Amino acid sequence: MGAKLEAYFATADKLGGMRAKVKLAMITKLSAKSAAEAADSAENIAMFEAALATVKKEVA
Amino acid sequence: MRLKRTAAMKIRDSILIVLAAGIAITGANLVGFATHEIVKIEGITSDASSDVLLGTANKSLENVAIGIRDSLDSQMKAQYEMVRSWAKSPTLVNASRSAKEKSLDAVFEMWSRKSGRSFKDGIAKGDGDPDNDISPEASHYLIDLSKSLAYPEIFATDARGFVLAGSGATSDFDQGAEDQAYFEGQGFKQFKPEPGGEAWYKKAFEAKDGLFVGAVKWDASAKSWGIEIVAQIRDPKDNSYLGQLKAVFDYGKFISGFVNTSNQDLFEVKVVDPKGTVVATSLPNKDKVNNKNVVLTQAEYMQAIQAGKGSGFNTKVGPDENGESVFAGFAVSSDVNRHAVVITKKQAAIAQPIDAFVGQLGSKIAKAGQELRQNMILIALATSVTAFLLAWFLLKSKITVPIAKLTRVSEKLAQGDIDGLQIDVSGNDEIGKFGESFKGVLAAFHLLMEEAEKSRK
Repeated sequence: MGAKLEAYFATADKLGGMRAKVKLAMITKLSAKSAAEAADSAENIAMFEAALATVKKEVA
Repeated sequence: MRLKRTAAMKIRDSILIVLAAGIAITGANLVGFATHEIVKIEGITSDASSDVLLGTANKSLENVAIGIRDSLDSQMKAQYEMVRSWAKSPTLVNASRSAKEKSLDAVFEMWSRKSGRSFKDGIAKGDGDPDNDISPEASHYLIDLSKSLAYPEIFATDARGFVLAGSGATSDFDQGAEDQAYFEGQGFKQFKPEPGGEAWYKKAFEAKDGLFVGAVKWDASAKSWGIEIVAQIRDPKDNSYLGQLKAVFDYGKFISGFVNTSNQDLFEVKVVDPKGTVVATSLPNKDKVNNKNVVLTQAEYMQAIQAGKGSGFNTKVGPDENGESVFAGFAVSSDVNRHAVVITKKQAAIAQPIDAFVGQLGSKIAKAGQELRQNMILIALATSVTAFLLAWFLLKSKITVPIAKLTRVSEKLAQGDIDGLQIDVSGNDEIGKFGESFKGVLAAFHLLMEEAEKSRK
C-alpha cells in the first residue's frame, strides 16, 4: 500500500524532526498512518514530493 | 453543542429572513409601482379619451355648420338664378321692348297722367294700382311672384331706368342715369336723385354677368332683413339692353325658416353677420335678433370669423348671449353677405355621453388594473416562495450542512476525541477551503496522536 508515502514522513523527520512531519501532515492532509494506508499512486507521490519541497524550504 | 447548532441555524435563518424581507419589499414595491402606473394610465386614458371625444364632438358641430352653410349658399344661389330667369320672361321682355320704342316724355306722360299718382316735394309717387302702370300685364306677373314667394317688392324698369311695372306702389319713377336731368327739366328742383341713377341700378348695369346682389339691409319699418337682387332684362333676339328687374328678397323671413331645426340635440342654429349681429336664430325668443345691444364680438367663434377663418369650432365652453354654457361650431357663407352659420350645443348635452363613455372606459381599465394587481401579487408570491425555497436549499447545502460538519469535528477535536475523525467538507468556496485546511489540522493531530502512541509503546 502506501510504503512510499510513509517513507516521506521518515525523510521529513530527518530534515526537521516532529515539526517537519507535522508540516508534511498538514500539507498533505494525511498522517503517517493514513499515508501508509493510502495508495502509492503517482498522484499521491507527486503531492508528497511537492509537500516535502515546501517543508524543506521552511526548515532550511 | 446545542447552543452552537442553534447559532448555526440562526445564521441561516437570519440570511433567509433578510432574503425573505428583501423579496417581500421588492415584490411590494413592484406591485405598488404597477398600481401607481395603472392609476396614472387610467387618468391619462380618461383625459385623452375625453379630449379626443370632445374634439370630435366639436368637430361634428363644425361639420353641421358647414352642411347648413353649404345649403344656405346653394339656396341663395338658387334665388339669384330665379330672379335672373324672371328677367327673361316674355312678359317683362315685351314690356321693356315696347317702352324702349316710346319717347321719354311719352313714358313720363303715361306714368303721370293716371289718377292717384302725384309729384310732391320732387318725388313721383305711384298709386299701387297695377292697372295704372305702363305695363299692367307685367305688374300682375310681378304681383303674383311677390305673393307666392318671399319677395315683398319687385319692379321692372326700361332701358332708361323708368319704372314700367311693379308689385306695389313705387315712390320713385326713375331709377336710371337720366333721372336728375329729366326731373330738373320738369321743374322739380328739390329732387336730388343719385347722379347716374340708383347705386343698385348702376351696379347691375355695369355687371358683366348682368346680375347684382346687394348687401343685406335691415328694414326698420318691415323689421326684416332684405337683399336686393337685380338682373338685367335683355332682348333675346339681339341681346340688347332693355332694362332691369329688381327684386327685394325677404332674407329675414327666409333665414328665420332656414335656421329652424328639428334636431333636438342642438341648442341653437343661428346666423350672424360679420360684425357679430344676430341675423336669425332657431330659438323661440327672438329678442337677440338684430339687437344693437347684443353684438357677439367676444365669442371665440366670432373672433375666429373676424380673423378670416372660414369654419371651425370653439375650443372652450363658455356662456353665450343667452347665458347658456355651450360648445359652438361655425361656417362662414361664401355668399356676398358673408354671414356665418353658428351651431351651438349645451355643454351638458356634449359632456354627458362623453363622461358616461369615459366612466365606462375607466371602469373597464380599473377592472383590468385590479386583475393585473391580483395577478402581480400572485406572481410576486409564487416568485418569492420559489426564491425562498431555492435560497433555503442553497443555504442548507452550501452553508448549513458543511458548517454543521465542521462544528461537529471541531467539537470532537476540542474534546480530544479524534480517533477515526474525518472531514468530508470540500469545494472551492470559502467553507470548502476552510474544510480543506481543517483536514490538514486534523491530519497533524492524527500524526501527533500516532507519535504519542509510538512513544508510549
